[in-house]
Amino acid sequence: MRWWYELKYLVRKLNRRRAERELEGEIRAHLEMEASEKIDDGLTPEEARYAARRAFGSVAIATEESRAMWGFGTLEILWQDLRYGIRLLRTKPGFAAAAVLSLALGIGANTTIFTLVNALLLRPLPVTAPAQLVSVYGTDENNRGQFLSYTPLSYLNFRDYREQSRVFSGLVAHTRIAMSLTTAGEPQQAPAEIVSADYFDVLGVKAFLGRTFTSEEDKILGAQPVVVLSHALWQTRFGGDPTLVGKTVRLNNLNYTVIGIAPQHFRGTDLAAASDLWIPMMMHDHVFTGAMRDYFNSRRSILMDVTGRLKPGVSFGQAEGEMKAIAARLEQQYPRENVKRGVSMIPLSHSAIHPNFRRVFVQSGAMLMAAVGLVLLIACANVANLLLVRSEARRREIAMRLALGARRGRLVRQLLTESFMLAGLGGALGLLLAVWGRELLWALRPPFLQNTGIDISLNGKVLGFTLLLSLLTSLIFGLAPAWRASRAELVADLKGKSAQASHGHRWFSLRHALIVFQMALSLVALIGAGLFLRSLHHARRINPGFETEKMMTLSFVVGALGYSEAQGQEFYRRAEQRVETIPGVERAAVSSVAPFAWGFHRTVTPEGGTLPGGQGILVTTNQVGLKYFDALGIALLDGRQFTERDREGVSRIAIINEAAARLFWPGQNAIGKRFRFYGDDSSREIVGLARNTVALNLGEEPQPQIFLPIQQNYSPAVTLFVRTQGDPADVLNAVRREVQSLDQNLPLVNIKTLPEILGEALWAPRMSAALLGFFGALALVLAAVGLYGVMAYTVTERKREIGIRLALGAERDQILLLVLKRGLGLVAVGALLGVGAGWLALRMLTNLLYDVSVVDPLTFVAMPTLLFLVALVACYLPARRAMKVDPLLTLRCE
Amino acid sequence: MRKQKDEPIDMLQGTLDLLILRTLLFGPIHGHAIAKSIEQTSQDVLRVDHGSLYPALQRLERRGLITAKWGTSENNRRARYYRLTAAGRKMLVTETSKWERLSEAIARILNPNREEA
Repeated sequence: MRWWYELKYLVRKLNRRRAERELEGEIRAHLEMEASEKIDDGLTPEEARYAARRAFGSVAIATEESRAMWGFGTLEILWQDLRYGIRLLRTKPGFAAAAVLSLALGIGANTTIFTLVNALLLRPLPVTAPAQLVSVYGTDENNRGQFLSYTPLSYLNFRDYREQSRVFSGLVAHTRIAMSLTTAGEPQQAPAEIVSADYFDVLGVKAFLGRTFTSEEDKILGAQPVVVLSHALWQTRFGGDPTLVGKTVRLNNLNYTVIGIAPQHFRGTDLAAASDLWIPMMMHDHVFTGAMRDYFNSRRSILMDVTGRLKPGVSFGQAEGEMKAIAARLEQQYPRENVKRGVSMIPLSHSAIHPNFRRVFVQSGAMLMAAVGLVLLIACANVANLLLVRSEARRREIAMRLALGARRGRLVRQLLTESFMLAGLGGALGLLLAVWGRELLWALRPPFLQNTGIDISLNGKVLGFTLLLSLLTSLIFGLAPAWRASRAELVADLKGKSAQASHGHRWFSLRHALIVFQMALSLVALIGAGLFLRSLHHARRINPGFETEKMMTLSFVVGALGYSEAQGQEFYRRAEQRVETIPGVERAAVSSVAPFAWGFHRTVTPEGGTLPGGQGILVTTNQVGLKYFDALGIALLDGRQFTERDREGVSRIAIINEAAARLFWPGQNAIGKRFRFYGDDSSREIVGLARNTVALNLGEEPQPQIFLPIQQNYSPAVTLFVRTQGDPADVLNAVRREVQSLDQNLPLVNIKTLPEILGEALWAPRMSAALLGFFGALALVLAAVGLYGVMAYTVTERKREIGIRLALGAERDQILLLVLKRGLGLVAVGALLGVGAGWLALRMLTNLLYDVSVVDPLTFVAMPTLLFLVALVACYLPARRAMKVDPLLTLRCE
Repeated sequence: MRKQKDEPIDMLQGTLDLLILRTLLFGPIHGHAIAKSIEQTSQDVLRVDHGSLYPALQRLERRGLITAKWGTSENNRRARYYRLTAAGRKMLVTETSKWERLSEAIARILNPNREEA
């Protein structure tokens, strides 16, 4: 029952005005009664009133302590502080706006970047108990290039791993394929995965509709054409038709029965390579045609990504140990196929971005987080300075409140509440900015992140991050003024101005330390921005070694429509011919490799040469049409091009690039030399030597490449390169129509001009430069505003000193110089620290830069200069005000 | 010596609450009357800062031990009249016995020979 009384009491007292009135009335009545008693005792009315008051003690304290009963304790005090804070902020809207905006920009930038980092690197995949899942990769000691550190496994090796290992409750293989999906609309190429039947069970992914595969569906080769569709494909292509399950869809010219729809965000285990449909492994003969069918059954051909779920109680290290032991056995058992090949495991949480690329993602994420961290620290320093300046102005108020009996703890709490409030407002506004910033950045993402299951929604982690950041910032910038208040010196402060000089100097130094700190941080941000701008500039000028202006491409997979090799070859020939009849087109040639994409790597044994590590070097191959070198403008340094006569049945030939020649036969003429691919019964003769071209990445070391005439080496999937006379965009549609007219059912994809593709390839350096440039500019502006604020305040504070100097005959120019010197001196110290810190911090980013040294002299000169120029402006404005001080007026004010 | 004896004693923490409850046992009275009553019954030994009475009354009201109502005093003044609730009565009984035990214990410590005497 007691709680009920208490609640009733509190509810009644919620009406503060009434409660105040009641209490006041009650106390007044008390005093009057006491006084009238004293009058009865014979005192004069005046004396009686006085005596009554004396007996009562402090009315103020009685009222205050009674009031304390009405509230909800701490909450109530917080509310009081908040209201007081809001009142203060409203009386100083300029200060409030400056502080909140600074913080909002800082927190907004941090939340934006964190949202993306979280989505790409931290958010677990939508699978059951992801911590038990691991990715199993192959390793290849002979081929440890940057992008071959972690390789797939061959299907045969995978089967041995699955049978021999005892540490997994399930081990599944899956690999990406492109399937053509024929529905009523345009033909479509769908990114697909062919998977072990227990793929979904091992990942713990339940169907959104229908079911996933059963083991029955993975027993007999080609017997069960069934498919699970992604939620996204179901929605976009089939309008979310709930009756689709049980119906058939046409994939690669065969009817597959839809047995289920995957849950919304599940798009496979690779974030950057999302799948739209899944078919069981036993359909491999249907989707792999030609040479791929042989590769599927070759122990040497590494095609399969492998994922496993650890048995309960089995540790990661234990599992990896057993897998490595099996790998060693497999190498012994199949020395030719598995030469120097092993196995390596990575937790799924670290392989959702493929480990070959993950380091770059992590580095970029860390770099961006650092940049926005700098911005936030600068913003904090700004707000701290604003608060310090204000706390100087409020010194009398604080001293007064202390004198009137306020406890210091209570005052500190109130000041911190104000800081929390600023940070809270900044955080809320920052969150809004972040939502907007996230949309903007996500809209600018590269094509390989375009159609994925990546979930960038603001989840608890992001909101928690923002909240934590706001709290942290308020502590960082709120501590100084609160500390200042807790050390208030009553007498001096109450006296006000006369004491200012002695205080002024101490606070002078903290404020100025903050400025130095800001200058240093902003210079680090600027140097980072400068390096990446230079890097972008360099990247743009990298010559990939082939024509990039007058060129367009489109890709298609005739194999997916069931074309035989002969039909495919015929199709390529006709496509090249037909496209060349289009006005504005100069040359057309097919190639099995799209620009800046993987080619098929094959094991090469050169005759009469020795390779490092013996046999087993993988080299990327490219099966190309006759006019490929002509069309792309790749110069042949020696030998001849492919001709009509180089077709199937005639002696097999190849053209290699300089890097390959240097690798196979260093110092020798490669023309006329021969090499053999793994699994081939005859060797091939080198007939031409091509200049190096960029294979995968702009700025890469030249990669060895082997070009083969496509007539002798069929590929069921090709990219058509079209060299144009003018702007390639003009012929884009004509080329598409012409190729489509050869087969209405053939999905044509990546119909793009090369400048577009190049733009996409430069996405990372462009994005880094843009973001770092933006954050650098933001840091500079915030720091400049901070510098301006402090210098302006210093001038105001020293008006009297300046007035005296002027009165004693100082020249106005000297005053200007005095202020400038003081300001720029701080900037110089900050810049020195910034250069040092920048040099130390940015060394870690070398591999993200295109051909720019981290101690790039231009950047290290230009950026400090920029900082100085901006700082000069920020100091000049207050300095000019100082120069115009009227000595008479200032002195009279005293 | 005598002077010291006459000096009023400051209240111990929490005793004021008990005294208020006890005073209200005889029926509803207003704040001023409570103060007077405590002073008179303690024969002016206990000094009650009249001001400290009001926070105590608010505290007791909040805890549901007393309730208040506006009324008119003998001199025709409007005043708030406080009255014990059932909970307040119960609390008074337990607190009184607690207080008695405490004061006995303290007395025994301060004056160990009394029982023998």
